[in-house]
Amino acid sequence: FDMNSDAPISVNADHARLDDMAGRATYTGNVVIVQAETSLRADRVELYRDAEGLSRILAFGDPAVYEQAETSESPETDARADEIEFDAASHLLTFRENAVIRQAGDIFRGDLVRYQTENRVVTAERGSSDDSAQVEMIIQPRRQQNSGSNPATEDGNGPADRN
Amino acid sequence: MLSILRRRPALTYALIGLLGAIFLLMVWQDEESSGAGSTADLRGPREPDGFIVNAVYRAYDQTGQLSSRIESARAEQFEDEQYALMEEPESAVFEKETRIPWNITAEAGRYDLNTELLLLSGDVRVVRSNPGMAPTQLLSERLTLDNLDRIVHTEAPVTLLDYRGTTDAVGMRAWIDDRIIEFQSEVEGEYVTDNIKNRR
Repeated sequence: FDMNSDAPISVNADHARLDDMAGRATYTGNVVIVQAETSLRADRVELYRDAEGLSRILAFGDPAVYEQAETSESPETDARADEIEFDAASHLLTFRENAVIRQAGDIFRGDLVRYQTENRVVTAERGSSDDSAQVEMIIQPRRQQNSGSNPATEDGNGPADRN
Repeated sequence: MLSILRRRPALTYALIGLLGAIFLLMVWQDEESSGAGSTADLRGPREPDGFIVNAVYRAYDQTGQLSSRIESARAEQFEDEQYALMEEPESAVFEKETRIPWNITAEAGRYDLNTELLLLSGDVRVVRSNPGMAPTQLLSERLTLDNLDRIVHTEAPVTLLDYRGTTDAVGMRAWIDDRIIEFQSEVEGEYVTDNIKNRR
């Protein structure tokens, strides 16, 4: 979500609790937050405000789902986890517990995945608590720019003959 | 008939006197009823036990601080049921800590003198000023001010206008001193970003 954008943010939910003194607004039940092409769906969302405005968003769901539609500069992004945190100052999205990020065919799985919304960089980590957990990444080969060479197939066995 | 009156002047004078008495009696009754009429008009068709013009009700907390003040151009009190009906009540409920008032206006109000519940109806507006920011406004058609528990609540649709933007919902409960608002269902918020706000 872009606090410097011209697009307003719409929030729909079953219930809401606005706590002025704590600077926190809590929305529960079928929560949907939309700003232009970006949306967040969750069971519970907490919006935190400081003197400058909206500073942080915390979303909880089973899973919570963050989606960014494809734009001219960037592919579609679908990211989900049990907990999603957005920090407005750093434009950083953090996905905790059962995090799965899909972007242009690439898939990142892990207990902790960070996604920089400005430059769209994804970093994935294993959760500290579970040694057996692993980070899984499936990166689609990029189409070669020069002519003649075919991309590797899904199983990576080199170019397939297509007659 | 006239020739009889000319021959008997005494009868004439008696008749004139009778007509005069009847005329006076009619005038007197008219005044009597209008007198009664003006009192009945003042009291009003609901015939309250008492009525106050430019009424002011004040409530204080245990420390003696003014906790709320309700003003009304006209309040009609009904002793048996211990309530007062108010025209265009204007209330001010003062936050304990900050002393900032929540100013509440409506077309009509019913104030329960025992429970200090004020049931407001018709274009209900709650306005709280925010130093350095746009005021917070709550708009609804029905609202209850519970001065003992220090909350306002409604089951009706409500709109909140504040620094965030606009929030619509159905059903609301707000804790005055804690400055917490809970919306019960169908919450729809449209919030402006700081970019839009700065351009206003």
